[in-house]
Amino acid sequence: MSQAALADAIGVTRQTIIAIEQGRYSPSLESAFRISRVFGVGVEDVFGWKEDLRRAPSKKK
Amino acid sequence: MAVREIVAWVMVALFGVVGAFCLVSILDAGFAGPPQEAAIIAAGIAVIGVVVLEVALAIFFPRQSGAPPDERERLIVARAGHWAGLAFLFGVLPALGHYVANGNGNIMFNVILLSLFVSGVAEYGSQIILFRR
Repeated sequence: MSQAALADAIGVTRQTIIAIEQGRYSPSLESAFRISRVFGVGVEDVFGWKEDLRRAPSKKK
Repeated sequence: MAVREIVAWVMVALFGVVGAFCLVSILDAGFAGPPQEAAIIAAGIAVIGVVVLEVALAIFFPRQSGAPPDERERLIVARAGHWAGLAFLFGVLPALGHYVANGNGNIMFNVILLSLFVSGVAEYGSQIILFRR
């Protein structure tokens, strides 16, 4: 599927799809679900998240 | 390049060129001089340029020009508008203060007119930076 076709399918511009692919923009939850539905998979199959270890909360007892 | 980014490039060029022309005419007469006809004409040219641009977009990009900004574009436009507002404020407030202190309306007029152009360049320049980031 082309970027333009995906963009049309979820209602954003092709440039937004490019920005999402390159990690320069995090889509809204709604757009994330729309993208997942287009591919017929779950959101976590399409998107991932690397926890920033510098900001990880410390565990206090 | 998105249509909105193309528009931003054209607008920053328009505001930059016309604003520079306006600045030169004001500097020639001095900031305390009366409103310059050339400066007012420059402002009118900027308005006409915007209208022509909108018409051209509607003709050559009918679908994109009529479409509302998507979620990413909305954030970019809002952020750029915020910075443009600040840029305008930095011109207007001193101009108003100067008028209150000295009563010279010519300086106030010229500074506010130039602030409009600076604000336009700031808005569309910010959009370009944010689109490309």
